[in-house]
Amino acid sequence: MTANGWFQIILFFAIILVLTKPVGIYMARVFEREHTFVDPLFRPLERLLYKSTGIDEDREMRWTEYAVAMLLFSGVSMLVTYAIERLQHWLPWNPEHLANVVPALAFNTAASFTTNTNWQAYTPEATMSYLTQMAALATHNFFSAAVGIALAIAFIRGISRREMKTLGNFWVDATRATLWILVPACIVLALLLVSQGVVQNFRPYDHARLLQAQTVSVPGPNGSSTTQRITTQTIAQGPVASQEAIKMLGTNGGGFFNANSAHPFENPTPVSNFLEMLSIFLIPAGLTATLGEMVKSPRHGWAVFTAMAVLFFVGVATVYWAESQPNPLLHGVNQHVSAQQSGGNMEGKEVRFGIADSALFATATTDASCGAVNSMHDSFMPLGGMVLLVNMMLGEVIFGGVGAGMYGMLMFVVLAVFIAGLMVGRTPEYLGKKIESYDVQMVMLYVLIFPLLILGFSAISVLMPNIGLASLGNAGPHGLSEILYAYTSAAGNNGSAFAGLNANTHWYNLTLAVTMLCGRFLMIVPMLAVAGNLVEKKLTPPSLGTFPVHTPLFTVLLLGVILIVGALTFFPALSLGPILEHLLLHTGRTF
Amino acid sequence: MWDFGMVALSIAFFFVAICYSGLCDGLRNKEEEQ
Repeated sequence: MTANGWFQIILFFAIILVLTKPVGIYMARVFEREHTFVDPLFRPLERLLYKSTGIDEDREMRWTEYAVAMLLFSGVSMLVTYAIERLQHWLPWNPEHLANVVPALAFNTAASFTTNTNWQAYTPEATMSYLTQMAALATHNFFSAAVGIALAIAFIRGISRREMKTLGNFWVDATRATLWILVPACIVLALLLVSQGVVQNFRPYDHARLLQAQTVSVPGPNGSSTTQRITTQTIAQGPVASQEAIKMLGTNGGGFFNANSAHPFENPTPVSNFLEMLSIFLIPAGLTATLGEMVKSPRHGWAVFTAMAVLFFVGVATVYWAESQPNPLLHGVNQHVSAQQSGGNMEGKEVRFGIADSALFATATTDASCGAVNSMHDSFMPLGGMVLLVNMMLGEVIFGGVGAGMYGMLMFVVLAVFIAGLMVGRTPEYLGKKIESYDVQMVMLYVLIFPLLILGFSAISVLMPNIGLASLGNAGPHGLSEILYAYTSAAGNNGSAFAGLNANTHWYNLTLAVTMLCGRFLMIVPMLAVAGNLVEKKLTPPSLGTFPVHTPLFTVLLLGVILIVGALTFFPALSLGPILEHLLLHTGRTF
Repeated sequence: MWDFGMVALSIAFFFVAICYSGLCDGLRNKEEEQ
């Protein structure tokens, strides 16, 4: 570890800290329909949209109506995405004449982008046309992020309103999230990325003659292999910067290229890398201030922010430490950091980013259910990789996905307040709203679906050698980690991968798609049910028995609840995966 | 055939999710009645 590395990590967090309040207050103003500086630009467009689609912007929705509108919107847009993928060969903007995407992969990808996961079981530049990238995938990057923000705002309204029936209007919230927040931020970020060298064009792919021809072995039929002489290299192009901006700001994570943010056309410089990392946390961190603003308790927003920040710092410090350690299997090799080398574990990392920026990016992307990567997580040391898994296993609440992190954290807040109430023997209250049995039933439904999906599908995959295990690139505990990571990433709507697992098979395409859909929508429904129940409650005046939710004690309790739920649920699986791999590594075994 | 299956699976999932929200609401109404 170096002082320079720590400086970059602290600078990153300091900028997020500074931006949290202004971004959060701006978002609160947008959703409370107060005046903002972009109103003259977007308000006429918003009115036109409502008029042309017959939406009454003043009509509010009960939680069930809000949920059904969100589900129908997601379902229809998923089918449209599937259709574009299946028809792309005959559609325009396909200069490479790429074939139609096969059905199971098209279904997996449609589910993936609809759920804000952006799991990619394919090589984008060799599979998706420019039209599919833009009309099917990039639009979902906006829509799924806007849906997430809208849902978080609906939950916050559930807390802030009293004795009402409604949570807002889904169409208005999703439209305002897109026009007022995502579009302006993406225009600014895309231009900044272009300034750093991120490409933005519609050209056919370039073909460059290699200075030194390569001879490669290509697998042929019946297990035989043939040698091929490669003299040219294909350099993929495309409208990358515009997609890169929403990929990061919307915590989507689906790369234009297979190498994602490790590709020099997606993330060419340390400056572009820093901007991309900032944009992962910008909206999720800002939503904590939006929470404080809308519930009229800024200190509660900061208490939630602090809980997220503590988990972030523990994670990034552990990953940075783990990746900076010399590999115990390399004997007689100088692995110490110096002016000539990064030291530590550089396998799967870009030299232009080094260990600190790779560890920071990996932590941020798994904290925030983004899933973009600038280094290969499968090549992290066992403990480094375990932290990335744990970040997702805690429910993607460490800042989390845009909106999804906030409502996920608020579900833990309700659980923490309930447990605090049990401990002192009083009716639990959250900001003056009594937490009753129905709320806790829905919270537990929310909490339990997540591990059920991950552990259930992982166990089935491990038990099927010809289907589940045949895709593995590594045996032993690392193989288990690869399967566990895939289902955790899918259920948490993260999208990053331990790429040693080939997930482009019927089994993984279908089960991961189902995991993504259930991990998104079957968790949103009980969350909205809690919001719908809270919004109808009377406000109970604070008394001596009220548990304050803006104190350090609350933050510690919240952290305890998150860690205990995560640790109790996933520790056995982790002990058989990365923990065992770490111990075996020190006895000389690797996988 | 695959296309039919994938589209049917998508529609079935969102139909189940809508029913699931109805069930959650029904549970709440039942609790209120009690």
